[in-house]
Amino acid sequence: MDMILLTFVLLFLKFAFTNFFSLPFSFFDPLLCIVIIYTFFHSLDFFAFAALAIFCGILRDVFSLDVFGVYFFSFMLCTLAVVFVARLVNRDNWLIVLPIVFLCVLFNNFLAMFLKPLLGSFSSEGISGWFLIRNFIEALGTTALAYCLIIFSKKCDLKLIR
Amino acid sequence: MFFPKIKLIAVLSIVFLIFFVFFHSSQSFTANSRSLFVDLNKLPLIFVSFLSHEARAVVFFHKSYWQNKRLLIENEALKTQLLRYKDEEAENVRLRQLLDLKARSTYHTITARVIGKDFYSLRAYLIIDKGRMSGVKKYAPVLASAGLVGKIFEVGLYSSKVILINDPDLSVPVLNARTREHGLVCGTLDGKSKLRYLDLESDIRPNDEIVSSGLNMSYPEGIKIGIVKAVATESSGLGKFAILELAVKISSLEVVLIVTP
Repeated sequence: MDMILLTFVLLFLKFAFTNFFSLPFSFFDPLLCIVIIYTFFHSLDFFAFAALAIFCGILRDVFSLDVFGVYFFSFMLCTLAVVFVARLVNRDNWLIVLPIVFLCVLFNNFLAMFLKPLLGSFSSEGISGWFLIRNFIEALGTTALAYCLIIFSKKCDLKLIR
Repeated sequence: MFFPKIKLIAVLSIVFLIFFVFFHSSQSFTANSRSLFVDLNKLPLIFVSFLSHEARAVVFFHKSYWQNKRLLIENEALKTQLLRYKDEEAENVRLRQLLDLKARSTYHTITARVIGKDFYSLRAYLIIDKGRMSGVKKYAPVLASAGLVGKIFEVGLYSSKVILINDPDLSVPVLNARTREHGLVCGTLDGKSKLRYLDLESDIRPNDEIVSSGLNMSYPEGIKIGIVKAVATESSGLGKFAILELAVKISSLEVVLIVTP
């Protein structure tokens, strides 16, 4: 229950952040951040991280304009990638999750671009410089959010990391 | 049993959900479900928007104070200009009547507040606080005082989502106010707008004003889109394109106008 509450709080925090700074790009992706952190620390509990990935993916699809299901699939594929990586790295040092978050944000955006045509949405535009920079900024911001979330979870003993 | 029952049920449920989402991803009922969910979150979004505006008012007090003083002076000058335009409008109406010219079509608008903004890399959009109950229709054009913002993409009962003019999946028929040349403004993944399908011999130049042409009746005629920033030739060599600077600063929009029939 506290994971669902945390998800909604971070989602509305993102809207508040965008309203406050009035920036023309997204600075972080809270839903993906929660999914990656939770999956990394609970990679042996399939039902838990799969349920969270499905819930967050559907929530992201609801709050987007894309074809429904793009982020549902991309979040699930990201969690599978995180589970695979979690088996290879040393999970005692929690700092290792930060580069994983960074790479997963980039991976998720490119995956969403790839999945959109498969689900019936066609766009003829290609990738260019400012799009890559925006993705990079979003990945950096999400990594910073991941750091803050993990510190907060340690202090408050949230289920996110235990 | 080789496979535990609960795991089998869970895996089958996930597979069913995947097929359900895959085959219904573009159906209208998913759009209605999304609109319903956004309607349910309208009040929290209004509250969050209010808090962030109050925080801005406190943090940017100094900037707002001097901006307010400048705007008051500008307001006085605009009031004087408005009086002059009213006289000219009255004379215009009288002369049109004399010449028996058909009146230009006017459009009605509904004012809506922007309660949520989302600028994800792939698709940016706005959430506004008006829906079907206020007379908003799907695909209705959305304007700001400075120009065109986009159009309504999803309508709920009490809220709507606006697709922006710089979205890659939105195209607007436009014309160059100076040369009266037609073209199509399309969004890009960069968040910019591109004016495409111009002739190779086109006389388009930087600082040309681009307005909506009203060609397919989806947007009113004469709405400002933006100014040409740069002109280049397409990679195919068959035509030109122009990069536009949009008239509306989308990231700081607070209030929009929705065109109603």
